[in-house]
Amino acid sequence: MRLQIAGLTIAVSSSDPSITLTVDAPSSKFLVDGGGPADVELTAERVASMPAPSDALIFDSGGTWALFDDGGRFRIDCKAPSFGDAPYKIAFFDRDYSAGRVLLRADVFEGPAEVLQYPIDELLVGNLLARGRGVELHCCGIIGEDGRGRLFVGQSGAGKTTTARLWMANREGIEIVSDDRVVVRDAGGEWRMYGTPWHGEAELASPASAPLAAIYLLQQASATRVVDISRATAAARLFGCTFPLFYDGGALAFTVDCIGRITGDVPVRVLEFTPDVSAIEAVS
Amino acid sequence: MERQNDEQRPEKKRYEKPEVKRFPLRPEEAVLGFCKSNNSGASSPACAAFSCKSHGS
Repeated sequence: MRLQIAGLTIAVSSSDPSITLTVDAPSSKFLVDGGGPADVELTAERVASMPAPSDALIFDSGGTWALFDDGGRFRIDCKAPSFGDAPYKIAFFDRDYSAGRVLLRADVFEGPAEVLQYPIDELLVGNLLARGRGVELHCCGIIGEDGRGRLFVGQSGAGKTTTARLWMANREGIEIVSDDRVVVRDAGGEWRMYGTPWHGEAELASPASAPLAAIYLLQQASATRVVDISRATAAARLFGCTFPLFYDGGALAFTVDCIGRITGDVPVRVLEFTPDVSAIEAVS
Repeated sequence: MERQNDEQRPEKKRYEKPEVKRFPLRPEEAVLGFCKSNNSGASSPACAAFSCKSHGS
């Protein structure tokens, strides 16, 4: 099984014939055929018991997952209260995230196995991007009928899904690449935006990509208008809508630099908006 | 000659005192601590038991 997300190919395999590899519905749009080298090679195993816990904690998300130093590799433990103290899934990755091994606890994963299921898929892509490849933004991405990409950036509740629905209701010939998470990469001197499987409330996800023409920081208001801001403000606000690897100084430095370069090349403005067609006309 | 150079020199930018501004960052969103998806349940037994948290989009 192979997925391609933002130009990154992830190959998943298992030598266990009892494991049927699968993905969720949004991710199925990112399945690709073919062989050849992948950016990441993952193997999956179903195991009766998990390895002993690691005591070399690097980062605890405070939620489902925690990252550990496991000698020459990384280890991500995934836990949920429903499954007791032991992780229900553990992923081991090489230091450059080019290869990995995912252990699925047999009593939890009895049927088809979504090896890349949250949080492995997004953590994996985030780590690959932060090693010189690009940045994931909390935003809605729309390809206009002119083929140019626009990003509408904001944290939860800012209006990303609302924006996506507005465009779908009022414009033909457009494509929403995600109503929640979009990747931006430097594609040979041109910034390009890529859809991801990680969607918002409207469950919009597409593997499509487009040249990035403009970025708008969403801000709900009583009237619609576009407001110019300084590059420094744009960079700071954009950084607040990334998914930084706080535990990795090199990755963090790259993300900051990447955001800085994007703000130098792509117009970034605030879109104060009311949820009606004026929010589309203001940026068209 | 020096005077001529002075005249050609662009107007000096007025000094602006550095200012610290705070911008919001939501750690629980930024670190991907919780799953937002709710459409994996059919093929994933794990999803049914997760204590998923939705923060909106």
